[in-house]
Amino acid sequence: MEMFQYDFLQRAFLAGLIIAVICPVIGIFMVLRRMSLVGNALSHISMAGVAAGLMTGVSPTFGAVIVCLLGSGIIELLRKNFRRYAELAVAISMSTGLGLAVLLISAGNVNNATVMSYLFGSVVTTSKSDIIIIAITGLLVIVTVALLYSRLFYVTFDEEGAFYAGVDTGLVNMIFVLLSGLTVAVSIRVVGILLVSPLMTIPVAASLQLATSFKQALAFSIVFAVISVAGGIILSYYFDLAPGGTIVIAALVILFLSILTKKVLPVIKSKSA
Amino acid sequence: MTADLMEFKGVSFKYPNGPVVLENISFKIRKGEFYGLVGPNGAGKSTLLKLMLGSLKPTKGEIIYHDLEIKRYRKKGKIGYLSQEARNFNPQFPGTVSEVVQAQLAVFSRDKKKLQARVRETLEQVGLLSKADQPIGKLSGGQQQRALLARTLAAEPEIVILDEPLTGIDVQSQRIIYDVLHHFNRHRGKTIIVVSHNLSLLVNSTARILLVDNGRVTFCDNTNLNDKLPVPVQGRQRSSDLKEAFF
Ligand SMILES: Nc1ncnc2c1ncn2[C@@H]1O[C@H](COP(=O)(O)OP(=O)(O)O)[C@@H](O)[C@H]1O
Ligand SMILES: [Mg+2]
Repeated sequence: MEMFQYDFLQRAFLAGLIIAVICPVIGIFMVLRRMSLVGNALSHISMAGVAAGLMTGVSPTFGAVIVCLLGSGIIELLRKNFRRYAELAVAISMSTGLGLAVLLISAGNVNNATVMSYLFGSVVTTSKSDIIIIAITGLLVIVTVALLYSRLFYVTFDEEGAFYAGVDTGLVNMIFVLLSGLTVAVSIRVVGILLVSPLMTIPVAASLQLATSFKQALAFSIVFAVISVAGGIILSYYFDLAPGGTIVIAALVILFLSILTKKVLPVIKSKSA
Repeated sequence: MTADLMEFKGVSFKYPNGPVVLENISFKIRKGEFYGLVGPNGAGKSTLLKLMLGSLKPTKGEIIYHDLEIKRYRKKGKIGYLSQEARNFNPQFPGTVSEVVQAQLAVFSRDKKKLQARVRETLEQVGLLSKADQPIGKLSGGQQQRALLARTLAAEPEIVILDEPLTGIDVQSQRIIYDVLHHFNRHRGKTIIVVSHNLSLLVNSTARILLVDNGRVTFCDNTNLNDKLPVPVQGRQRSSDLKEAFF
């Protein structure tokens, strides 16, 4: 394809593929634990990091990573100690991040187009240093989830049971939310702050329609996310659209098809039988 | 003479900003015995189990663990606990029965082959081998409870603590759970502690019955248990009803 003649597009594509793998890997645990709001909050918090990065001239992706790690750590501590107010803690950290970001952006006179590219994602601006950060993070997320797979599975299914079965649930929860923070932080470059949370949840929702085991749900959600991201980037290049939007629309189409498959296929089968 | 496993010595417990649940209770749990806990709703049975498990601390008195250190035991998977709430998992959860049982074992063991053999063995015991590859959320209530029991027993814990495992499930599942627990107790020498509203369905004449009521815990004679518990105690709210059923 002609689009791959460009270095920047190769980079964006590579970054997109890594993100397409780690977003649903984290997202499946988030969705099943009913923690999707945390992902949403983290993406808003990441904006403060991006703004700080833009102002200081340090990499915005790096800024987002630092702020998301801090934010996710704080969210988990609040969640653990004030269980009843967990939702409130998430809402408060979300507004804090957003408030700080707006403040920094307005004070720092940051170029509007740059801000937009972080809000909605961009394929033209993925830098070499972005790629390095995204690749390292991707590896870290995948290896950690692989090592903790049984524990994450257990905690997701039944946190109390996991605790009594000898799982250090406090530690597992903390590691998980830090991984979520990292994933969100590196995903915003390509997908955009506003659309990273959908990428973590929609492919998972689609795979839950069809999967008949946890491993299958995980595999399907990765496949769906990869298709959405690859398709979304190609479309956004040819039609000059923001990739975040095309990626999320592609994911929604897949969700729609999977619901259709689930509802319609049994009817057709029973009729032909 | 069997060894003591744990001993409650003058234990009282009150939830912060909540009611006094247990007052000055003392009793011993012995290794290899089968205990049935009975008492009206809200009497403090679940609370008592959590004290045993070490996740709640007595406000007064002490719990002495002979022969086991509860925290280390938990870390090593030597305690099997099935809570009252375990069945309230997210029904969307896609994990299969065998994936769920396997997760318990995988926390402590890395030997995949052995692990899968053990999963099959436990599922066979609870009569769910044919459901091994179905999502646990798709099973009936009784089947789900059997799957959770398989998970609880898979790692061969020394102590098995179950909170109302028979409530709201079909008769066949109740029967299977009874058989599995008694097998585990008699042939493997494991200590079993179960809460049930329907003890006549769960214990035999060798079991020891603990009545939890009005903040007290007392051992009861359990000969002719069926005469003493003519109707299931299920759903009884007032403690006077329970006493009528008992004495
Ligand atoms: N976390 C808690 N905080 C405050 N009160 C509680 C808590 N858990 C249980 N209780 C109260 O303690 C009493 C005993 O509860 P529980 O041990 O669950 O009873 P049972 O299992 O016998 O039905 C009840 O009055 C209940 O309302
Ligand atoms: Mg209870």
